[in-house]
Formats: sequence, structure tokens, C-alpha cells
Amino acid sequence: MTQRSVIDALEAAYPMLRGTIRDTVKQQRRPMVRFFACGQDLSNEPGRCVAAGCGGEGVEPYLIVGAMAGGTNRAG
Amino acid sequence: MAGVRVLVGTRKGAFILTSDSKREQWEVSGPYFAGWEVYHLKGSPVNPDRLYASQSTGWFGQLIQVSDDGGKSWTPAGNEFLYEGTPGTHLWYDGSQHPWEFKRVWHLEPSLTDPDTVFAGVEDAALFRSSDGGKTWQELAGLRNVKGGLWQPGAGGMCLHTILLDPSNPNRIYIAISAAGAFRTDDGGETWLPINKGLRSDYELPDPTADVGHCVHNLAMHSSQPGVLFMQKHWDVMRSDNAGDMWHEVSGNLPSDFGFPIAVHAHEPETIYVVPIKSDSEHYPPDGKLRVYRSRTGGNEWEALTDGLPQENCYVNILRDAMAVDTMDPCGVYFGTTGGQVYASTDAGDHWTAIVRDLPAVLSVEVQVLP
Repeated sequence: MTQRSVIDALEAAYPMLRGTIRDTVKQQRRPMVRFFACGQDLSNEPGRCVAAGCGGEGVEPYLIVGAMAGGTNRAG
Repeated sequence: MAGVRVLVGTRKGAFILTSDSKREQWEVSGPYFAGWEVYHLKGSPVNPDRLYASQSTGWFGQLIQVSDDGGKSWTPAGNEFLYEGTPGTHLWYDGSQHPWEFKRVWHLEPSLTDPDTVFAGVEDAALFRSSDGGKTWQELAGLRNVKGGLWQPGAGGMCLHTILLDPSNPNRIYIAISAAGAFRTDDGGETWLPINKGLRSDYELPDPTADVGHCVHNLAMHSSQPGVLFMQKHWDVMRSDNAGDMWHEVSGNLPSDFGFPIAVHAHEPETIYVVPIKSDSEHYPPDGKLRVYRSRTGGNEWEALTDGLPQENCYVNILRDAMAVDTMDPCGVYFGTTGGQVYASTDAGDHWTAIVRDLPAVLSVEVQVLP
């Protein structure tokens, strides 16, 4: 199970989230979103397996979080 | 009992202000979508309890929200705004071509006849339509065929911010884009015409009378005269008497003809309102005096409306979607400021009261009269 497949499943279950986590065309992570699992920042490893390799039992949470930064654009 | 509902989008959430028909006592509810920018929210003319809202943040981008109980509860709707075909490119700040990229929804315009049909004006500029209550969106891509490669972003981005639906002709729609200009369709959105003849942008465009590229800030129309349009351009207040085929300037005696919103009185189609702003680099009222200007002659002759508005040390801005009128008698006029005040006049602008203060910066104001 990769990060990409996790997000695919999430967006399939909740279509209103399409575009909020990654770009709908390029499928790239939105710049101010981060992916955490097993105590690691996996934001730049979309193909990485997230169900194995943590040394746990496969029940660790997969976190999609807003980056530690403020918003942008005209309204600031 | 009839009442009035004011829908306010702000930098950090939405607020709903309600009053009975006297419009004296106001109840403030919100923030809805706290912490998110709400560029616009608007109700269906057919079903006033059907509201659409556009919320966004720098983190998670854009969401569309729908309410069927007048804003008490909200449900996320569809969020896929995909440009039709290969999106192509438009002019970028540095003169290069830049790919079209969806950023956010600036304006939502519900259909005049069907509560499930709604139009969305987006950045990068394009027009989308949903016929299923916001679940899915389709681009009216013919618009971008009108020299889209020459459109360019203004300071606020390249946004489609104004959508006017002609109540006498369901196939006619007007839209405006910063910085591309005004456009009209007469076939329901299949094909579009630039309607920018008569506009002059002497210091913004190398060809001041170009077909496209003008920074139109807002358009307004009265439902009884759908062929008469009023425009607040970057500089200049303009009027067209032939559905945008030709414009002429009606700035007249305004202290500054720079500004953002423009509105038409609900019962007097020749009475219009603007809020002059000092300049494009100084986004606040001239002389620190917040003055709405009203023309009862369709432009050229303007009077300052100041009673109840701060007349010293006022340096707020009023953004393009932040002024609206109600259909009560006398007509109510409302506007919100970047300082967080929402002002209301229940007598067509003669007197003003701040019905709420200290909200986040106001991005949009819409008004509904409830049965």
C-alpha cells in the first residue's frame, strides 16, 4: 500500500476532497500539505509503501496535515 | 414575517447577519468555515435557503459548500474544476506564457430559475457551470477562445469575478475578468464576444483601446433594463446602453474614478452607487473620508453620501464583491470594508449604520430578502 493508493482511496470515498490534498491534474501534493507516518515526513515520497517498514503492526495512523506555515494570496 | 439576510464572506470565515423587515436590529451568526477565506457566498433566487459558498486556504485550496437551510448547516459539494481539453497558456506578469492553473472560486452566481444550477467564476479565469447543486462542474470553455492567450493577471490574480445573468434572456450572460475585460454570450455560453469598445486603459495597456486586456473591476445591471450595464473599471466608471457593444465614461464629478464595487438601486434603474478609492497604489478613500457616491442620473452627476460613515482617518478598502442592495422599500444598500465593518443604509444611502464591526476583512457581501 503506497501513499498514492491511500489518497486514491480517500478521494474515492470522499470526492469533495479532490483538489484539497493534491492537484487534480498533475496529482502533485499541494505545497502546504504534509504526509506523516511512523514518525517520519513522507511528503516527498508518494510511491513509498506505508503499510510496511514501520516496525509496527500496520495500524499506525497516516496523517495528512497542513504545513507549519501561514496562508497566502490577497487576503493574507 | 419578511426579513433580510446579509451573507458576508471574510478573510477568516463567513458570517450571516439577519434582521426583520425593519432592518434595525441585527443578529450575527458565524464564523462559518472559521479560519478559511470565504471569497463569496450567495443564495438561490428561487430557493432562498439554498446557499452556495466558496471557501479556500493556502493549505488545502478550494472547497464549495452548499446549505439547504439558510446557512445553519453546510455540506461540502464537488470540488473538481477541470479546464476543458488542453488548458493552454495565458500571459504572465513577465510577458511569458503561463499554463492555465485552477486556484480558487471568486464568485458564485446561482441560476435565476433552477436552484441546482449555479455558475462559478474562477482563477485562473474561466467560467464553470454546475447543474446538480454543485456536485460536478463543467467549463464553458468557449470563453477562453476569445484571445485567452492575451489575458493577464492583475494584482489580485487573473480572476473571473463578475457574472450577470440576463433575466429577460436565459441565453445571455455577461462576465468580467481582471485583467481581460468584459465578455458576453448570447447562446448560453457556447460562444463569447469581448465587449470592451469605448474602454480606455491609457497607462495599463500599450494599446489603450485593445479588444481585451482591460482591468474591469465590477459590472452591475438592473433587472428591468438588462441591456444597460454599469462598470467600475480600474480607473473610470463606465456605462453601456447597448448590452456592452459600446461604453462611455460617466465618472463626472467623482473625487476619484478608481474603485472596486458598483451597484444599482433595486427600484430605480438609473440610480447607481460607487465607492471612490484614491488610486491603484493607495487602496483607501480619498482624504481619509469614507464616502459612497450616488448618481440618480445613471452617472456623471454624483452626490456624496456620508451620514453615519467615518469622515476622518478612515483608510479601509471596499472590495469588488462587497456591496449589494436589497429589494425592500426603501431600498437597502450594504457594503463591507477591509477593516471588518459592514455598513447598511435602509434609505437608499441617505443614512448609514455599522451593523457589525471588527469582523475579519470583508471580501464579499450579498443580501437576501426572505418571504
